[in-house]
Parts: sequence; structure tokens; C-alpha cells
Amino acid sequence: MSARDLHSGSESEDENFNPEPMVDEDDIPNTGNSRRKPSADDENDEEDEDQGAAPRRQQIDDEEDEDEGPGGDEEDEEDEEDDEDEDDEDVVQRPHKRRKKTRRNQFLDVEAEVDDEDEEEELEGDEEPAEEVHPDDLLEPTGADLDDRRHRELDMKRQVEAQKDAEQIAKELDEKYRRREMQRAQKAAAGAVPLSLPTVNDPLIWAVKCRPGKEREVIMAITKRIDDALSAGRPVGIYSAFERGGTMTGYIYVESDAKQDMVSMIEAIPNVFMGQAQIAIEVKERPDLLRKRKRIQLEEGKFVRMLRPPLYRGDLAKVVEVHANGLDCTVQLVPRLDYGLNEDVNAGPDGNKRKRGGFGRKGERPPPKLFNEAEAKKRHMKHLNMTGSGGSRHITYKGEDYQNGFLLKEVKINHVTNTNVNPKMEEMQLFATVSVDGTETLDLVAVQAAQKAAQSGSAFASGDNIEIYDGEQKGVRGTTVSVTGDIVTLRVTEGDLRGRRIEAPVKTLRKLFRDGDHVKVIGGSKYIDEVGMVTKIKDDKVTLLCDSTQQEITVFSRDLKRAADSATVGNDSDFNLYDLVNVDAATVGCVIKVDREVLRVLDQNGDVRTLLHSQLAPNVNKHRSAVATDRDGSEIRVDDTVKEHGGEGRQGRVLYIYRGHLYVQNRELVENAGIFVVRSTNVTTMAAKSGRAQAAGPDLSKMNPGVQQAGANGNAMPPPRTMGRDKLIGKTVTIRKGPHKGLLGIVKDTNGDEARVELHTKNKQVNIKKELLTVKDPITGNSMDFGGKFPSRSRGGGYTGASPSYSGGKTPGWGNSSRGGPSWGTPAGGRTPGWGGGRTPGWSNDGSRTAYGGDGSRTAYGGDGSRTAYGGDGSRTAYGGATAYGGNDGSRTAYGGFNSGGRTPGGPSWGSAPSNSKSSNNLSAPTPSAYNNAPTPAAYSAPTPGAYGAYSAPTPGGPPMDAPTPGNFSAPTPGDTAQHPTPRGYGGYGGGYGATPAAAPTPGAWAETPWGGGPETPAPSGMDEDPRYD
Amino acid sequence: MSFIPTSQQRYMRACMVCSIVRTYNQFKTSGCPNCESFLELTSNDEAIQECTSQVFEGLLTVSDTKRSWVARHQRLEGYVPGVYAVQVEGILPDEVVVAAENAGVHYIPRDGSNSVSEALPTDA
Repeated sequence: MSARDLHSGSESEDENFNPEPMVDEDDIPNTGNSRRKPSADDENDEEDEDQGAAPRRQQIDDEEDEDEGPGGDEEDEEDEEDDEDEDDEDVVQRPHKRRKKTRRNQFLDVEAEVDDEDEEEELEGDEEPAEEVHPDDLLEPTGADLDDRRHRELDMKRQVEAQKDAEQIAKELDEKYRRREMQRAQKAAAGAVPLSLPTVNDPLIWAVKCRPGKEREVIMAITKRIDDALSAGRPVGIYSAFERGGTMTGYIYVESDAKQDMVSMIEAIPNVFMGQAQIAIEVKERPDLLRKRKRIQLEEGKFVRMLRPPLYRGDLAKVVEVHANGLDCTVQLVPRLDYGLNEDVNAGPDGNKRKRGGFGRKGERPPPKLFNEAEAKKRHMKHLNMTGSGGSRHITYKGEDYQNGFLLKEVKINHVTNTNVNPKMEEMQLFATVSVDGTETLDLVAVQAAQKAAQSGSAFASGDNIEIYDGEQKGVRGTTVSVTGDIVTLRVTEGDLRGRRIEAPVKTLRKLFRDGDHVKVIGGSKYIDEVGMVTKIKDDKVTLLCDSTQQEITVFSRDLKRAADSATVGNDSDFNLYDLVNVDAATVGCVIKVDREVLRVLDQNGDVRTLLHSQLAPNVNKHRSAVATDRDGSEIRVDDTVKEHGGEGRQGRVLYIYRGHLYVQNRELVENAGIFVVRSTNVTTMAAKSGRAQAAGPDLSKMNPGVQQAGANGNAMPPPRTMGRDKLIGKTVTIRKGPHKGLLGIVKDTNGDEARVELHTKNKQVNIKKELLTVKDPITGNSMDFGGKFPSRSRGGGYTGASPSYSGGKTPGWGNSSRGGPSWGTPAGGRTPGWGGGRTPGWSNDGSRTAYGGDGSRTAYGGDGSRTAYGGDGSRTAYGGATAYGGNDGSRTAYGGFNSGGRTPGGPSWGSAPSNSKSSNNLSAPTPSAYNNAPTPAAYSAPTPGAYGAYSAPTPGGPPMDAPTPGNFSAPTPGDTAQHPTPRGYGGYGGGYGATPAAAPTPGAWAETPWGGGPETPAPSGMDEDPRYD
Repeated sequence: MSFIPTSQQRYMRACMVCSIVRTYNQFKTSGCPNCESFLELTSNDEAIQECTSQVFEGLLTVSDTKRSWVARHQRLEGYVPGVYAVQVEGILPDEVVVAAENAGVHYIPRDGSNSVSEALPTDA
């Protein structure tokens, strides 16, 4: 440019109009001066005013300089310098010459220049005579100031020059400029000259199809042909051929003058598809073929995607270092290692596997995982090499470096890409940096940078107010009309262009907002979906006040959209506020804040953690039925209201129960969204949602059979329902009836009153009514009683149907008992009392209404033996009718009923009643008292449910039955009660009386609690004596 | 002979100054035909590593660097015929740039970073 500026404006204009021919003139000096002359003349005409009869050489010189100008490149520093030097000299010399030869303004100057140049180029001294001749000739006669005279002089000069031997001039010029040209060529080659644009005079460029991926091979094949032709001295035919690999796959481009030359040169080259016509590239499109793509600079800390090696293709990597040569970089990768697990053990040590290895990887590549030293040591200790320690621990494994579990890999920059990286949160998480204190932090800024979406037209919607903030049309404002790719059409709304539709590339646009606009963040930042009011606008950054958080955030205006709606926060999260989530295997937490990228979670230890969404497992299974006990032993269920004991005394509603930790919500609390964590043992229940009795201990009415029965009031109770797994399952049974009668089997499953029995004899399962089964001891083969499952077989018939188990249990027991005889015979014996005493009363109490023969003595156990008949009278109170137990038979073991009235007196009354029988004495004492006491709440409160269990447990019948389950208690049915005492347990023992004593323990147990009692003695004794079958 | 057999193509490197493409061994044995005067690549591994690049794009074979517009556009005028790269990545060490300037070669990186003069609207 500057070179051009040195010359007249007209000239440069001329060039601007048609720069292309100037390129052509590059060649002219070589070809001769025949063309040059006319052009020189043309220019002279224009220059007449200024330069008049400048010597041709000077003009040529000028042209020479201008030749370099067409592309208008400013890089041409050297040439500029040259020119300037010359000009400087001119300036210096002008006054001098003027002094010497006045009135010769321009011509003299020009001549002086020529002189200078000649001096400069001493080698061309031969030109001097010629040079000096014409100026002198021309100039000497002058002296007049008149213009026309100068014109004439100029004409004369031209004539003279024209007459000069053209060949000589050509030679001169050639000599003079060859060197410069050579120099220039070198400079040009190195880029000193602006990129020349193609002209119609340049060779044609043809696009030729070839096999994609084979472009380089084709080029090399052409190279070989060129080489051959050159060495053979044949004409080559094509000037060049090139490919653009990744950008124009499947094409090569050949430059040649004629299509035939090109075709003959490339035909029959493998992978070239000559079948399709070759396309000539238009002149103006040619530069595009050679456009260089500026590589986006890799920067340390940025994320890239791997292209190679295949093992890591597509993996996210972080640039650790870019090497000085700009060709290599070190990246941090999450290694994919199998630590030799999939190694072919059969492969020889010489690696003959290589042969079979073939192309591509076999099978799946290992998943990305941080380097695991222990794993590596297992099989590849020999490949392992360690240096350093602690954080700087450096491991070399199989020739690759690992640090902090990451693979540090040196790769060529073209093996990674930084376009379309779009890292996912899960991937990013692996790159979370572990700080000194062990907490993981993720460089969210890096994340954001990596996720920064390339700006595209999609950010603009029609109707947006936009402004062009860059480029020639800077400052133009308008409204978006349409968006096509990256070009936005806008209608100008302000200024001179108002109403015009213009197009602008997206990257020069920004959205226009005004203070106070209500806007929504639609992308590009972590504030996506935030809505707020614009408070400040600076350039293309907009500060807005969020509606939701009342914080000021600054985002790019392109990420904003005018919005009327209000914020919706975190709608893309899988988690909701107050969700219970798994933090890790041993930790759960309650979500107390859902942010766009992070969750704040209150874990079970009361710590608040900030976690990424992806760090959390899906929600924990919520056990709505979970139960905890408070410090008083009351049960706590979800939705109960509890109060912290001690501490701040916070109270609230239980949201979750997790292993003794309660997540309690109190809306009045501010911190942690009103959630706090307490241990269940540290709270007291205030109110239960279900209306359960609270704070007073377990529900006695449910647990106290007597109370229950009062309610039941003699009605036949439904059979007890066994909860949970049927006890029968897994038992060895015999079938008593039906086609399979007598066969032995194992109960595999039960359903209602049916059991599925796998027969020992046949490999077959049959459905049998439970009542037809007899449980056998798998080892001894003895029958075992099994409560509740058997039909009422009461001998006495005293039992109501409600207590079938009772009799059922008993029967076998009785029958089987080895000691049956004696025991029967001696009801009054040591045992009996146990029985009658402890137990019976207890029993009768329970069952007074129903079970044990409401009808009186005859019933129950005694039925057969008649000795011990227990029958509660129809005493209405649960605790013993006044004379609940009377042995009808007059057997010694007749037990007087309790005093219903006196709970306390029960003891005495009892005592008195049975007093006749010694044994009964023992027994009786405890029992009644037990019962008496039992009803008192105090008694109940003390014992935990466990106590009840104990109660039932001791009863021999208990164990086999479901005695221990509290359900027994809760079930008010007499049958239930019947179960516990179930004497069949006894029966099982054999001792008929044993049976009775069996009952004894129960009262004993009862007694225990209220009395702490000695009285239970009978029971234990009874127990001890009884053989146990379990 | 500028032909490089397929088996050798993996060793191809491009001179960062003139963009000529040769194999490492060719550079080592005979240097760069255009820039040898100041790059002095022959038998100089380090110089080859510094001044030539394995990362280049676009293979261009030229038989006549004067007549070919492509060669002129690529600033290959005056260079020997042969195989060149359209774009060469890499950063020439400063001292080499100075040496080139001293040798009268105005060095313009061939990595596309200096694409101002050819910048067209769609140039990304």
C-alpha cells in the first residue's frame, strides 16, 4: 500500500479497478518489453502532469514496485523499506540537483533517481551511458517553463527511446531485474508477497474424485509420475496437484492448462475415480481450496476430546501442558486399563499374539477408572515403577505415567480436538481435583468454559431486539426477522437505515435489553432458566437481579431472552427438595436445597454436604413403615410429631426414619430448609398421626388379653391369624388323611389353610389341608404339637372352636407322652399342681370367657383325666371369675376361681381356694397374684413387650407356636391365649401333667413381672421337669 | 525425487518455513532443499525436530512453482518442485525465525494463524 501511495493517486486507482492484470505483469519482464512499452506509455500519459518525461526505467521501476502491490498487502516491509530508502535519497538529493540544474523540476528529479539507482546497482554500470544520454539530451535544451514545451520534450524523449534498440533495452532490463526477481521469489516463497489471487490466465484447477482416505496416496502417485516425467525430460502436463484431507474428503485437485493433460497424468492411478467427470473450479472459488483453517489454540486446563489412540477415542481429557513446539501436548486422562485381566495367557512371551491381533480392538475396551495401584500389582508388578510419594507420587506402568490415578499422556495436538467437547457432568466429575483435605472440588469455571456453547443463530429468536456491535454496521439496531444458520436478518428500527432489512452474522450481534427488562437466561451459563430484572448493561454483558435468589448475576446478553414468566429452579434435577438420597453406602441425606448444579444434602450425622447431582444415587427406598422407638420406648412412625429431648428442644414432624436417625421437619426453622436430624433415642413422641397411644407405653388394651376378651365378650373369636411366615413351612409332617395318608413330607409353602407338601416318597408336591397334617420331629419322628394349625380336637369338648389349637396341640401331646400314664395318673402330683395351679388360673383367666371351658370344669385338660378340670366360670371379669376354677371332679387340683373383685385379693382368695392341694398352693399363689397384678397398668408398663414374650416363651407350648410374637397378645381371641398356655406343649413332653406344668410357666412369667415373684416357682419347676422337644 | 512410498509416509514431516514435505531421514540426509542455508537440518536431529513438523494438512505436489497459481498462492514460487504441505502446524523457535530473516526470508507461519490477508467472511 505504502509503496503505491508513493506514486500518483491516479495510478493506484487504476490498479484498484483491475488488480488482476497486474499479476499478469509479473511475468512480463521475463517475456520482453514489447508489452511493457504500451503500458508504460499509458501511464506516461497519465503522469504527464507530474512526471512528464520521466525516463522509462523509472517508470518501469515504479511498475516493479507496483507489481507487488496488487494484493494490497502491507506485509511487504522489505520492499517498502527499499522504496523508502530510495525515496529518502531522492529527497536528500533533490535540493542538490535543483541547485545544480534549476528549473528542471520533475525530470531532473527522476533522472536523479535513476542516477541513484545506478549508483546503487554498480554492477549495471553499462547502463549509465545510455541513461545519461537521454536526460541530457532531453534536458539541456529545456529551460522554458512552459508546459507545452515540456510535453514536446517528453514526446521527443519517447521517440528517442522508442528508437533505441528494443533488444538492448530488453537485455538491460532483464539483467537489471533478474536478480531482484530472484530475490523477490525467495521472499515471496517465504510469504513476503501477498497471496496472489487467481486469474483467468492461470492454469485451470480440476476437482477429481478419489477414494476417501486415499487422497495422500493419490497425490504421492502423481508425484511419482511427475518425477518420472521430469527425469525423462518429458513435459509434465500438470503444474500441481493437492488434497485437503479432512476438509474435502474424496477429492483431489489438479492444476493444469488443459483437461487432457490432467487426465493423461492421473488416469490409471489407483483409487482415482475417473468415471465421474472432473469439475473445473471457478476462478473465484480457487482460493477457498487452499484456505487454511486456523487451529484453535489448546490451552492448559482446557478440556479436549481424544481422537487417538483408539483406546481413548472420544474420551475427555484435560490439557496439562502444551509443548513449546506447539505440536505436542500432555493431557490428563482417566485410564482405561484392565491390568492384564484380559491378557491372552496362551500368547507366547515372544508376542506371537501380534499376528493374531489383527486390526481393531477385540471386545470392549476397559471402562475408564482411575489408576488402581493394587490392581496393577496383582498381575503386573513387573511393569510397575514408582517414584515420589504422597501427592506427587508418580507411577510408571507399562511405560505410561500415572499421577493421582490419572494417566498423563503425551499426544500430538492433532490427536485431540477441542471442538464439540461438550463434557458431561459425569465425565467432569472424574477430573474433580482432590484437595489436600481430601474434599473433592470441581473447577466449575473450567466446566463452564468447556461447556460454553458455541454461539449459533439459535440464540436469536424472531422479535428479539438486537444490535450489531461489531463490524462495519456497528451500532445498527433492529428487530430480528428471521434466522438462517448463522445469519440473522434484522429489520432496522433506528437511524438512517430504519425500515431496511439487513443481514448480519450472528457473531457480530448481541441482544439488546434495557434496564428493567424482565429476562430469562436461556443458555450458555450455569444460570440457565434463572429469571430476573436487568439492572446493568455493559457491552454485551448484562447484570440481572434474580427473582428467585435476589442475587445479581452477570451473563452474556446472547444468553438472555425477554421473559414474562417467573423462575423455575432446578427443574432438570432428578431430585426434589426433601428427598432422601444415598450419599454413599453408609450415608443417606435429605435434600435441603436443589441448585442447578449442586444439591445441598443434610446427611444422617447432621452435616450439610454440597454434592453434584451425579454424585448421588437415586433415592433411597423409603420405608414408610419404618418404626423407631423414642427414649421412652414408644414407637415412632413417619409423620409423628416428636420433640427433641434436651438440646434445643426442637420439635417437628418426622419425615424419614433411617436406622435410628430421624429426619424431622419443622417449618419454623430456617436453617437447612427446616430439616434437622436427631437420633430416635433422643426424642420423645408428642403426638402420633395415627392416634396411637403415645407416651404411656405400649397399648395395653391390645396387649392384655383379658381386656381384649372383655370386649369380645364371649363371642366366638375368629381363629387367630398368624402373621409373617407360616411356622409350618419347612416342618416335617405326615399326612393323616386322604390319598396320601401316612406319607411323610416337608411343607414347602402354605396358602390359607392349605399346605404344599413335598413328599419324601415321591418327588412330588401336593396340596394338603393343614388340618390333615401332623408335624413330626424330623429326627425322632415324634409328633410335635403345632398350635393353631390343627383342628379342635378337644376331648373335653369344652373348648370352643375358637381354641382349636389348644386341644389339637394337646392331643398328640397327651397321647404321645411316654409318661402319659403316670402323669395322668398323678395329676395331683408335683406336676399337676404346677399345672393346675400356676397355669390354670392363668388360663382360665384368660380364657375364662371362652377358651377354657366357659362351661366349667369338665372341659379343658382335665377333660380326659378329669382330674384337672379348669373351667373358669363365666366370670365376667377377665380376672377370674370369683370362682373360676373349680375342679368339678373334686379332684384335688381344683382351683378356686379368683376373686374377681379383688385383684389384689385375688391372691389370697386363690390361695385359700386351692389350699387343699399342696401343689396348688404353690401355684396358686403366684398365679392369681400375677393376674391380679397384671391388669394394673403398672405391671404392664414395666414389662416391655419382651416381657410378654417371656411370658409366652416359658410355656412349652409357646416355642413351637407363635407364642413369642406379640401378636398373640394383641390378638384378643381366647384362642390366642389358649395358644400360649397350650398344654399340648406338654402333651409333647409326654407328661400329661407335664402338660399342665407347662402351663405353669406362663403364670410364672407373668408373676415375674409384677411380683418379681417367687411364685412362679411352680412354673419353672414344671418346666424343668418337662422334657423339651426343641 | 520427491516421491515418498506409502510405507514411509508415516515419517513425513513438513518444513515449517517452506512447507516442503519429506521424511525424517530425507531431512536428515539432505536437509531442506529450500531453507537449508539457514535451517541447517542435515544431520541435525534437534534442528529437524524444531524446524519441521509432523502435523500438517493438505498434501500438495508441484511440478512448476512458477507457473502454478497454487504454488504462488502458497508462496512456493522459486522453490524446488516437490511435495509441499498446504498448512503446517508448529511454532518455529525464535532464533530460527531470526536466522531466516537474516537470510532474507520473511517468515510467515504456515499454520493458518496469519490468515488475515486471506480472511474471508466465513473464515472461522
